[in-house]
This record gives sequence, structure tokens and C-alpha cells, in this order.
Amino acid sequence: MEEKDIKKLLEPLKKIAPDENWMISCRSKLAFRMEMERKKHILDKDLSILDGLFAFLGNKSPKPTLKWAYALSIGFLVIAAGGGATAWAAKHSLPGSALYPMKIALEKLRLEASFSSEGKIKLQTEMTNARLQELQKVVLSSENPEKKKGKVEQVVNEINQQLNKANNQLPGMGDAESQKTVAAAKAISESAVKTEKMISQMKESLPSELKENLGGRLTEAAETADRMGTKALGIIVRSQIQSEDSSEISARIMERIEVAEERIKVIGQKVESVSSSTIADNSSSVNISADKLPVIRAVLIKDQSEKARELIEQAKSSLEDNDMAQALETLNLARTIILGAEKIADSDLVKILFEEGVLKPDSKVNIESNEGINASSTVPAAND
Amino acid sequence: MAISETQFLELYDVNVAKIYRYIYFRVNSETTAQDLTSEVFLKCWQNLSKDGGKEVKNHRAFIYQITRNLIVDFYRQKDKLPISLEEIADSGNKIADKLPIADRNNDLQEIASKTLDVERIKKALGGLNSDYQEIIIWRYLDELEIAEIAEIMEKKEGAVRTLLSRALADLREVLRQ
Repeated sequence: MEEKDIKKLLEPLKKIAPDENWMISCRSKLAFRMEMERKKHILDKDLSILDGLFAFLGNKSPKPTLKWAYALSIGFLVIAAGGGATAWAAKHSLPGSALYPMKIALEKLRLEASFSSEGKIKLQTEMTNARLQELQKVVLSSENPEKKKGKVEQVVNEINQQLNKANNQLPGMGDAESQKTVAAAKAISESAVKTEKMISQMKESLPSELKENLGGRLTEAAETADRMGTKALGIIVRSQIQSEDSSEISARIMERIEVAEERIKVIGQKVESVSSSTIADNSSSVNISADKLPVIRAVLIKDQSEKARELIEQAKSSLEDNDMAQALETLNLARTIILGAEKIADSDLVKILFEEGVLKPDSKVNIESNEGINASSTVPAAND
Repeated sequence: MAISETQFLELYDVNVAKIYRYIYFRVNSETTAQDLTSEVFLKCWQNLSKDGGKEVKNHRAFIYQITRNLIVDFYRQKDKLPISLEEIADSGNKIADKLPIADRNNDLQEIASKTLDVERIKKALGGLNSDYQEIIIWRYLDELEIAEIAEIMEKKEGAVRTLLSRALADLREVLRQ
């Protein structure tokens, strides 16, 4: 028997591995022990602090200056005892709770401790799902908008961070041939679609007073999910470009087209009630009155929505011709335009027009409404 | 210079699975392997974090040395204690149960065939003396370099190559039986 035969026989034994949950728990305990030893080193320096702690246990009042040391030690003891109750409470905490940061920290620790890429992606998907459920609970709760605002902000921040991290972990297109990469990309693509749909739904469920503040943040999160899904889909398309079986990719692209169409529909509903009008440019002067801003907004959004719809039809046509790469590229263009329309719908229009250089301070535009009435006034400066 | 906590936890992440597997093959018990693995890393940390402690150039080799010593201590202690219920339960565990779930989803005949192969090689490995077992685990499963193995065993590289050659010969002999 040659050495290579023995190596081959030994190969299956390489798969023997410890339980992933045990590894995470072991790491946490190790990290805690390391921290304890560091603290012990500090505490050992002053025996009088320890005397004060024991004095408390003997029903004597601790000196006020020693209360922090007492709290720290009891905290370590609680955690050393397993901290089961604390960990359980943290696991079920919602945004706004004092234990919510611990919940997030424990999840991140679990993610870092996982060293298989499949494990990491599975955990990231679970974490994103958890954030979406929390977002749903907070948005649909009957709390007053003021309380809701902080909680929604907290969970949206976490969603953005998690999505950005997952997005950065997706390998570049050059690695598309690896089976593991493609499997990871498929999982991420599915998760991204679900995330984007949920975020869009939650955005529409926000009370109106919160939409102005938080709508933009949620749009940003939906956009990150969309970008992540598109990047993942790009990897799948590239890896299977030679494959005969394109039905799966076609279905995934179709799913994303449906999400894009839904987004256009939602934007359209926002401007339905506003009457259409045209903007006439009279030489170099532009007049806008405050009550005409919704009209301008509606026109811009409708224009962009139309363009996005055209591109989506082109993408569908490319799909029918089995040109996946072209379909995805066209869909990406449509997505960019939809995002622009969403931003106009959610944000301060005057500020956008200034940023885009369409309006300058003291510039004027003539607007003809359906009744042919001209309204004119000086555009306020951006800071007003 | 003492190692930082972050650096040490990175060492843990990279090495924990291999150390666990090495210990598992030597003690044939999941519970014991878990306990000893935890102890290995704690002991390593206590040594590496000490200011003015031993200067360590190859942290991985150091971890394996600590592991080896702890396994020896375990057997010394074990000889003094009666067998526990845990050990009786663990000894019934088939190594095939430790394989990833995906491997268990193949058809029954293939599973049975793989299980027999794995059990056979594991039994053969277990039949070797401890030095031979260890060198085969380190070289072919953990893929350590000869120089690293030499450092762990505190032997010269030439001696390690000879030992490896003898270990393979022994393993061949056991597999032929």
C-alpha cells in the first residue's frame, strides 16, 4: 500500500469536527476567562476593595466609592454562573430595551466564531431575518410615534450594518467559478429579495410623521439589499453562462423584476392624487411657489417611473431571448432610476433640486398648471 | 512580548477544530475532547499572556505541545479513576456519527460502505502506539510540516522523518490484517 493510498484512506477523518455551538460557547467562555484574569490582576492590587465587598456580604453597607467594584464583581459572578437568565432575556429583547445591544453583540460573537463560509452566510441570513421581525414588531406596535422613531432607527441601523457586511463578503466576479461561491450567492440572492420586500412593506406601514424622517433610511436599507441581491445574481449568471439549464437564473431575475415593478407601483400610488403639469423654461429664469412643489415632484417621479417601466420591459424581452446577462444589466439600470424616483418621493425636493444644480438661489421658473395659471416667486435659499 | 487577547482568539479560531480532532482521536470521547480542548486554550493563554514569560516563535507548535502534555496528564489521571458512565456511553459512539449531515444523506449502501472504511481506518490508527498515532494525525490530517512536528516532539527533523516512515509501515501492517 502506497503512502498516497493511506492518505486517501485517512481523508474522511478530516471531516470530523467539533459541534459549532460548542465552539462558539467555548470561545465565549475563553474570552470571559481572559477578561476575568485581566480584571483580577487589577483587583488584586487593592485588597481593601475586596474587604469592602466581603463586608457587604456580611450585611454591612458598602462605602459609596466601592459600589462600582461591587457591581462589577457581581456582574462577573452572574456571567460566570452561565448568565442563563440574562442571555435568555437578551435573546428576546427588542429595540429600545437595555439588553438589545447585548443581543446584537452575542449574535456578532456567534458570527465571528463560525469559520465555515456556509455557516457564516446561514447566520447572517438568520440575523437579518431577526432584524426584519423586530422591525415589523416595532413598526406595527401601538406605541406613540416619538417612541417608535428611536426604536426603528436602532433596528434600521443594524439592518444596514449587517447588509453592508454581507455585501462586502461577497467575492468578486473573478471567483464566480467556485461551487461554494455560487451556493453562497444563491443563498444571499434569496435572502436579499425577501429583505427588500419586507423593508418596502414596513416603509409603507410607517405612520406619516415618521415616514419623512425614517423613509429615507429604510430606502437606503432596501437599496443595500437590492445591491447585494444583484451582485449575488451577477455571480450566479457568470458562473452558469455556459450551462444549458438557465431556468433557475431566469426565475431569479424574474423575481427581481417583480420587486422592481412593485416599487414603481408604490411610488406611483404616492403621486396619484397630484394633478399633472408641465414645466416651461422661460429663458434663464425659474419661478417656483411652495404649493407647486408637489406638482414638480409628481412630474419628475412619473417621468422616471416611465423610463424604469420601459427598461423592465426590455429586461423581460432579454429574458425571453435567454440573454441573462443583458436582462440583469437592463434591470440594474431600471433599479438605479427607481431609486432616484424613491429618493425624490421621500426627500426634500427643493434640496435635491439645489444639489442637482437645477435650481440656484434667486432663480425662477414659470409653471403652467392645468388651468394655465402662472405662479411665480423667488426660490428660497437652501438654508431657509 | 505577550500576545494580545484579539491575537489569541484568532489563534483559537484557526486551530480549535484541529486540536479538538487530535484530542478526540487520542481519547475517543467527545465530552472529554471538548473539556480538554477548552483547557488547552486556557493554559496556552495563561502562558502566552504572561509578561516575561517564555518566548514563543511558533504559536501553533506551542499549542500542540500543551495539548500533548494535557493528554498525557489525562491518561495518568484516568488510570487512577474508575470508568465513568459518560465514557461507557461515549465509547459506543460511532465515528460515522461525527461526519457532517450531508454525508449521511447518501444512499444506505454507500453510507454503510463509508462507515466501514472509516471505522476500519480509525481502528487501525487506534491500534498504533501513541507517537505513531500522533505523527500520522499531525502529518496527514492536520497537515503540519516536518519542522513543526519536530518542534512539538522536541526531536530533529531526520528523526521525525524516520518516525513517520515507521508509523506508516505499522499502519500498513495493521490495515493488511
